[in-house]
Amino acid sequence: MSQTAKRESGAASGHEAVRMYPNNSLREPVREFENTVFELVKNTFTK
Amino acid sequence: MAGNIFRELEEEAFFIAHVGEYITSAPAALHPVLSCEIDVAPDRLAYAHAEYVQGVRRFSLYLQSGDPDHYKRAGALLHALYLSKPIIAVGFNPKLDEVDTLCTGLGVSYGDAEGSLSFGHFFDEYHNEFAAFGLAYDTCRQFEAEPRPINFEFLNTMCVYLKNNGNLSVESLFMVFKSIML
Repeated sequence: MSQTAKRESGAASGHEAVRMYPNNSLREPVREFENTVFELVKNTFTK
Repeated sequence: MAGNIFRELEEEAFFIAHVGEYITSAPAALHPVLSCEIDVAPDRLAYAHAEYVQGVRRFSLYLQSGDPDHYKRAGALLHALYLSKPIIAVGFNPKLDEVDTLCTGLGVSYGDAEGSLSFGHFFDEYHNEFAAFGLAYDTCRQFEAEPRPINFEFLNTMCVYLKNNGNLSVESLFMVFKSIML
């Protein structure tokens, strides 16, 4: 298999595999969206 | 529980509506600390969407799963908004240089007026960075069982970091979220 074919196959091995991030996938959310940054600002600047 | 927001953001119409709504809601949500009107450019949101999708796809190349986690997608979202700067105008009412903390209106305390003035100056300088990080951080923490809170000093530091560095990579911003959620 040529170098190009190897890359296009998506197969990772040897040095190429070492350069990959740990293989984490997107999981499902565990909480609803909360505007914590806006609340942080209000709590910081409201006396 | 709603759907997976990071997947939904890959769809352009949803991205523009969701991100635009978050940004334009800021003045009302932050009242009375913030009294201003902001203009958000839809074409910049469209540009941000294209950058977000590109950032996610870039990570996909380095993952056998091809499905980047929430830290990487939060980094891609922050990077897209950091590049596109969707807020194009901020108009304070009253103007910041007209705010007199020693002569406040009825029902407005000295402390509230001082806080409004202080955050107003911050928002005037860092509105895009603040909105970008706020949305990316709060979206990222939806995926954490025990998300670590941040304080205003961190938020301030993050905004200055984004503003002062014009060539940040998606991967450096991914590492920000990976680090603060540990």
